[in-house]
Amino acid sequence: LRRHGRAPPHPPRRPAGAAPPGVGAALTRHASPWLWLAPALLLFTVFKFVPMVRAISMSFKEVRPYLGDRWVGLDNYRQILSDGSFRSAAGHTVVLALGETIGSIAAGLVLALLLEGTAKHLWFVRTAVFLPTVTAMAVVAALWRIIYYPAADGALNNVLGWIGLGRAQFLDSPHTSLWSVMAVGVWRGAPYDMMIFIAGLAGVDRTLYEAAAADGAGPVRRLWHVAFPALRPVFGIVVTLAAIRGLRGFTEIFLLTNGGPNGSTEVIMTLVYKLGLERNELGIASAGSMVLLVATIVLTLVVQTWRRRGARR
Amino acid sequence: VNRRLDTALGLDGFRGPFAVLVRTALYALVVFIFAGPLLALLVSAFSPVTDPTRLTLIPHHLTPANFRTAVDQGVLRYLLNSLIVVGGGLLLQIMVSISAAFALARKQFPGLRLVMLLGVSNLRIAGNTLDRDTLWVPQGQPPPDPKPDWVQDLVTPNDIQRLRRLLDTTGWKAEVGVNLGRWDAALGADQAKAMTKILGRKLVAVECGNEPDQWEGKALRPGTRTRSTTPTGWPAPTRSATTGSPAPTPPAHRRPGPPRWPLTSTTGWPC
Repeated sequence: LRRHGRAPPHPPRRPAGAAPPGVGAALTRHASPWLWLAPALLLFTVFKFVPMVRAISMSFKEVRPYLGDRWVGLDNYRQILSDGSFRSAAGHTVVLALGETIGSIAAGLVLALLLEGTAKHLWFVRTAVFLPTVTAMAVVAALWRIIYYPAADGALNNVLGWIGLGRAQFLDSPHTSLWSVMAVGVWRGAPYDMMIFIAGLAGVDRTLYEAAAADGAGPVRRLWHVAFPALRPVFGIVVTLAAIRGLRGFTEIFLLTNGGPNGSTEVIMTLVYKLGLERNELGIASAGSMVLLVATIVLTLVVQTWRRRGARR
Repeated sequence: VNRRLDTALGLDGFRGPFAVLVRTALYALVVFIFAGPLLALLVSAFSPVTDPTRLTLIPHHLTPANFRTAVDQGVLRYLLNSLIVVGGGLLLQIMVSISAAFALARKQFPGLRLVMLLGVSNLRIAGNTLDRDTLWVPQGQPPPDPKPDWVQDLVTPNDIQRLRRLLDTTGWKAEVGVNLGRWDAALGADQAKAMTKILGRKLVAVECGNEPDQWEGKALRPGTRTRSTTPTGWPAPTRSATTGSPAPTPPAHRRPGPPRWPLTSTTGWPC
């Protein structure tokens, strides 16, 4: 304005007490986005945030329906952490999560390397392999109970018999039940990881393969020096998803063994379910859930930090 | 096209009866392991149930009797319940998502950043293509006619303006590349200057080319350029980009001044 040598125009007069012009419009402008967001925020609040806050609150209380909750401080945490069955369930959870994570990532990677490509027959094989992931867990559990039938003529025992391995008890023995549940988790999780790996492999620049081949690298060295470094971010995502899936596993164990036999497949989620909904110990169950939540958050942060460090290198 | 370089292991490139046989056997094995149990379940659904603990992949006496029994026991009602729950849930999910996405993508409001914390991202516009075939055309200048034969893409300040609009809408930031493979000091400096002006704080970094170790293979630079010699070539483009004007190559002992924004290299070499 100074450059053009003109004075600013006078603001228009308005009646005393009237709202300044534009306030209503600004209010509408600011309120309108929140109205669009309201349904999502409402759903998040009702089904996610409120239950989470309520669970945190319950973990510090002795929950007594109709009588009023009683504040007990950290007693629920002390009780759950000193409980042998919780420690055992936590151990099973870690073993199961580790086994399912490593197993499904390894199997998923092998499948991805085997089934990567654009040929039409590969599309068919990939679709067939992906079926376990999209099948309902209830169906998968019923199916694997039949496959694991412990008689000599059970489906899997029959197949094992072809290669000279003896009859196994699978879900019916405390020594093999956890591994059997883990195998189901790997069978169901590997195709999911395979799809993520295939998407990652599709993004690898083909000229890098050509450059590596020109330098004399064979398939294994191409894999090690080109494909795996390019897949580093994908590994981070897959590890996080698989670990969370493993730690929060409930349905497959509930339907396959319900924690048995003799507590050999009891994990934190099934124990929390039993404590809360069968024994009505909602405060202790909430404390157990919080321990699992903290473990999941810590694990996620560790993986994210590892990813960031890897990305910086 | 060498099919062995189409994929990481290049399995499709192996020809000959033995290779095809091994590949087919491997595919059959994975289909048997992952789809076999579900196929057995399907076959069982069409077979008379004599022993509920047995599964078979080979159908005998196919019959729809199991389905008739299921229908008699009210499975259609359960199916309808499932459709109502899934359909209703899906409809609700789509409506809520569209509504939230509209607000986040098209509206500017206080608190947007807070909500976007779940989805804020960085956009990287750079890579091998940039070094291979992308030419910067400064404001007000026509593109060269005829274009050099290597040029496949033209980038202008208008494109950077469009990028700015996208970044403003999404709340994202961007890292944008300057062509170093086909380096032109004047164009590089002009592009860096225009991007700084247009993108402002939305510009996270300017990427100086991409993977110089690939240049020789793509005939962008002579074969004498190696990993050990290339860093000595960096100061000239870096300095001219940061000062906004073409600069002669400084003596080797002189280092360029501190850049006004972070300069990155995808090789980890000094930039």
